[in-house]
Formats: sequence, structure tokens, C-alpha cells
Amino acid sequence: VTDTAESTAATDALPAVERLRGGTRPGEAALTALYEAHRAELLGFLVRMTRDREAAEDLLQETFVRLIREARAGRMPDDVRPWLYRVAANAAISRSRHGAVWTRLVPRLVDHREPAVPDREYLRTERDAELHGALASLPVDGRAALLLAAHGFSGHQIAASIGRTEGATRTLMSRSRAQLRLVLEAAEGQS
Amino acid sequence: MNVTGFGDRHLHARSLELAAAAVDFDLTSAETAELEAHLAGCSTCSRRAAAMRRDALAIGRSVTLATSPRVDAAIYAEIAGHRARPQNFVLIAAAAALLLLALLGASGIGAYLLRTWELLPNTIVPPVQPPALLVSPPPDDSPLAIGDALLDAPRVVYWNMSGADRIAVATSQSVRHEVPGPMFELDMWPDPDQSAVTRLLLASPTGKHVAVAETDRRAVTRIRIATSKGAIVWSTQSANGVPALAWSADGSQLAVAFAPKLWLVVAFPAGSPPKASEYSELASVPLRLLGFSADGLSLLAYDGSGKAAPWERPYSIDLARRTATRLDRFPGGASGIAVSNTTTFSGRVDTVTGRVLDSGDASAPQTNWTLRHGSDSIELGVPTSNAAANIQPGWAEDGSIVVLETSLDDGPPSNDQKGSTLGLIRRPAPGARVAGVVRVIWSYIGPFGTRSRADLLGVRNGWALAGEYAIPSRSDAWLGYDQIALGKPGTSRGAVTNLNEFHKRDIHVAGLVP
Repeated sequence: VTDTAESTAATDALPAVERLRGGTRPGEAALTALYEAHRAELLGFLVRMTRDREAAEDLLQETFVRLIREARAGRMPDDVRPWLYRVAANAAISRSRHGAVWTRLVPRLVDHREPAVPDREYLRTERDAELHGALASLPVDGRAALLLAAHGFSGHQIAASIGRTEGATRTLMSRSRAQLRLVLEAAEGQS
Repeated sequence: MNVTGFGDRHLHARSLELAAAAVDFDLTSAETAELEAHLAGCSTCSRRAAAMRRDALAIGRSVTLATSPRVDAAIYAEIAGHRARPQNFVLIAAAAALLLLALLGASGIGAYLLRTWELLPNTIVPPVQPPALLVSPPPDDSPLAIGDALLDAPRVVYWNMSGADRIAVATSQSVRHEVPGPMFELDMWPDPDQSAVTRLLLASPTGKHVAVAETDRRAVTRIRIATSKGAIVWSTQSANGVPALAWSADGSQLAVAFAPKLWLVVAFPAGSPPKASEYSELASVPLRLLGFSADGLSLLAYDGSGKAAPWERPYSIDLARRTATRLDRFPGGASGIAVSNTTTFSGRVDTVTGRVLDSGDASAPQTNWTLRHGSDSIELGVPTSNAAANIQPGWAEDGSIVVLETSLDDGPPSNDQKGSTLGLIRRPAPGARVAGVVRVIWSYIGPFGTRSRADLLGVRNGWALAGEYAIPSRSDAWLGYDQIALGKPGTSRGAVTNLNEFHKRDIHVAGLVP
């Protein structure tokens, strides 16, 4: 038996666990498994982004349809999970930005949409309600950045997802966190 | 960055921004010094900084929601090669666009688009699949307990087998990782056909270290201890076969047993390199390691000769005196075993009380599972028949018994899907009969399930971890875990992590850590 104390430097953390086989064309079983593996957490993300269950499900569907078509075209992303979040976040941001125009037009055409309300499935406590209410008050890209961080993405990945530099993303996130805190403090003060 | 000279308001705003940035990014040393200097003298900003970290924690709580049958059907149709039914808002948008076009007098274009729309093929909707994420039960009939529910849950340490010569070690349930997030990667002995090398990982209860053992076909074993960042702090090599490993409850000692030839205890004194002690005098006794005592002063083991049922021959190894003493029964309290990942070959020893969970008489399939302790015999009220096709017991620190039941016919009455139940049986009084398992978790075993199989992977702080296998319908091969369920038996608190197609073949669990 040899007994040696080593001082090997720490290796950098690498996201190998999440890595999929890029460039392959997965079959139906693999695509089904991918959908079933990611749908629940991605829907949770989108509901928190949109505060609208139906809109979130539409965006979820849009995101996975894009993935399926990319896969069929032989362009399977190397890392599926970041790809899904990137597409979903951008779809939600895009929807929000176009929402202003859209919400002006929709009432004139059809007016059966219920007002966007938080999904009661994830608002279990007053604290949750306050937090998600405060999140909703943030600009959509700031909200996306904080939620992506909450889902485990690094600043670099978030920057790539929302199309900003890392420096700009840091500024966006720090201001968003600070704003969130001030909104929550105001709410706590009122209560 | 010097902010001296700015007004108080700017100073606090700057501090708030730095504290917020520190949640997600590494600050420069100057920024860190600036922030710490300000926080040291400003209780308001200090409170805000702490609150922002709590906010991040709260946002990061796992929120997973079951998709509706509408979306599932559309995606399954898309996967099957059929065009998904247009979504509501797309329909509305299309209608709005057509209406606007019509209003603008572009009736020709509108009519063309309308004709094109009508030519779209009808959507073929496959049978609706039940949601994959289903975490138990009433009282509130919620599919998932969230909010504060998972704050005190342990994190799961995973590792993978996918690399021929490298593995990745990852955790879940941390503040910012709801699914496995990387801890580190580690070079291993090459194993191109993934069968020549036996690999074993065991995380320390504190999460500070991971013990990694690998044994090749020649029975040569290398054991390394890595920090949570992947730095190797100790290693050894031996030709004595596959070892058993056990951490002490406080994570300060690792026992390594090459039964019956060689026993080592590696200690981690504060501020000093790890130090290994060899217990060669134990080689004369055919002992198998169970784990450390709760106080870390001794090891508990059992007779591994195979000549007797293991629960009849418990041993205690005094680490200071270097002696092995045969016991009448396993001790309780501080002398009882605090941590063990070892299971015996014909029964499960309650390492706290010395009780044994035994399936009873195999020739009588309706016999209930039984706890035995000396002459005491306690029926659990769980039959070994199909109603509880597979029972796996585990022990919590307080001696409660956690039972994973993998049933063949559980699930909602609306379908015939298979599922698992994670139940808790409270530690019963001697001679008492226990009413039955409290069912707290079941989870759907996807479109794969022709049979069901699940493992109880660990118990910590009242939480239990179970892994469910995915099984292809055309093969008997076990593909690895499809879902990892972490639940607090007796409550509605829990979460299920779905592992993707590629994870499930290779994921293993190395332990539960704070």
C-alpha cells in the first residue's frame, strides 16, 4: 500500500454531465425522452417568465417544436438544456416586447382572454406571491437573467442567451437584483 | 474602485449593486474589499446583502409544473412526424392579421392565405400521456410541494459512467442548481468496454470530500479522496480487491476495508494533510465493514465468513485499542452506527438498533415483512406479495425505518401505469404490529415500463432518495435511472428529477450531503 498526500490543483468544473451527443439525429424515443426530461422544469421557468400558464405552454410548445425540427435537420444542439432555455427565454422576451402592440389589438378582435394571473400551483405562500410579483415588475430581460441564474446557468451562458456582453449582463443582473430587493422591501413595509 | 467622496446615497447604492453582483459573479479583489469595508460599517446594507442572497435562494427553489394534455399531444404529434395543431394565440394572430388585411382591402391576399390555411393536414393526436412529474399526495392534492419545502432537503451527489476514462461528479438541489450541476471531472483508469473496472464513489456526509475507488480485472484498487472542487488530497493503491468504504458521521474519517485482508482508516485532522492508519491485526477475522459508530470511536462490522446469518455476529472494532470484539447485538446510541452504505447479503441490519428486516419465509409469499431483534419479532404489515413486489428498507438517523415499495399496480385509477411508493414506517415498539406503509410518493414510469424497479439510495435528515429505472419495452436491459425522487416521508414534500435520455444510462448516486 502506498499512502501519498497529493496537492493536485482543483480542476475546473465542466458541464459534462449535461452534455448530449451533438450532431446526431435522435429518433422518436430519444426526442420523447428529451421532452419528458425537460418539459416540467422548462414550463416552470416559462410560467415564472410570463405569469400566464397558457402563454407559457404555447412558448413551451414552440420551443420543443423548434428543437424537434433542428434535430430532424441534423442540427441537434450539443447541450440541449442550455439551448432549450436560450430559445425559451428569447421567445418569452420577444413575446413580452410584442405584447404591448398585441394587447392593444387583441381586445378589439377577440376578448376572451382572462387577465394574466400567477399560476396558483407555484404560489403557495404569501412570500412566494410577493417574490413573483416583484419579479414580474422587473424588465423582461432582467427577469429572464435572474430566472436563468436560478436554473443554474452561469453569467457567461446567460449573456449568450440574452444577447449581451458579460459586462452588460453583470450590470443588468446586479441592477435587477437590487431593484427586486427594493420592491420586496417596499412590499414588506406596506405589510 | 474608490468611492470615497461620493455622498452617502451613492455609497449605499454602489454597495447594493456590488452585493447584488456578488450573487452571480466573482468580484475583483478591489470590489470585494470595497464591499466588505462598507458592509462592516453599515448594518442596513449588510442586511440588504443577506436579503439578496435569500432572494436568490427563493427564486432558485425548484418549480416544475406538469404540462397539459394539449401541449403533450402536440409535441408527441410533432415527434411522430405530424404537424402540430396551431396554438391558440397563433390562430388568433392569424385571424387578426387576416381581418386587418381584409379591412385594408387586401382581400385577395387574405383569401389566398385562408385557402392555404385550410389545406393544412389534420393533426393526428396520439393517446394522451400522463405527466411524468408527479410527486405525492394529499393533504393539498398538489403535484409538487415547493416554496420552503425543499430548503432543508439534502443535495444529491451524482456521478456518471459515460466516459471511458473520465467521470463527472455533480450535485443537485443547491441554491442555483435544480438539476445536476457540475462539481468536477476526474481522470479514471481507462475502461473502454465499461466493464473491466469497478468504480465506486461515496460522498462524505458533510459534502467536503468524495472517496473514489476503482478496481481493475487484476483486483488492483486505487482509492483517491477528492475535495468538492476535485483536488486530490490523498490516494492509495492496493492489490486486495474491491473495498468497502464508510465515512464517519462528521466526515472526519474514512474507513476502507479490503475484507478480510486490510483495513485502513483515513483521518482528516484540521489544518494537516490526511493521515492513514493500517489495522493489519484485523486480517485474522473475516469481518465485513458496516460503518463508523456515531461517535466515530469505533467501527461496526459483521461476520463475513458466510457460516452464519450476518445479524447474529456483530462486531465492534475499537480504533484506539485496535481490538475487535464480538457483540451480542449491535449497540444503540453513540455506539450505534451513524453512517453506512453497506447492505448485507441476506437481510438488512438496522445499524442503530441491531434489528433485522427479513422477508420471512420465502415459501409463503403472503408472509409480511418482519423486523427481528433477538427473540422479538415485529410484523410490518406489508405483505411480500404483488401488492408490495419489492421492498427496500433504509434507516434514518433516529432509527425510523424508511421503506421503498415498488408496486406493480400502483398509480391513478384511470390507467394501469406502474409506480413506486416511498413509505415511512416509524420505529415500532418491540412486539408491536405496524399498520402499514404511509404512501407518500409515486411516480410514473413512462412509456418504457413493462416492469418497474427502483432503489432506495439514501436517507438523511428524514429525507429519502429513490431512483427509478427506465426499462425499454423490447429489452430486459436496465437503462439506468429514469427519475430520482427526493422526498420527506410522512409529508407532502418532495421533488422528482427526470434524467434525460443520455443521463439515465450512466447516472449513479454517491450520497446525500447538506
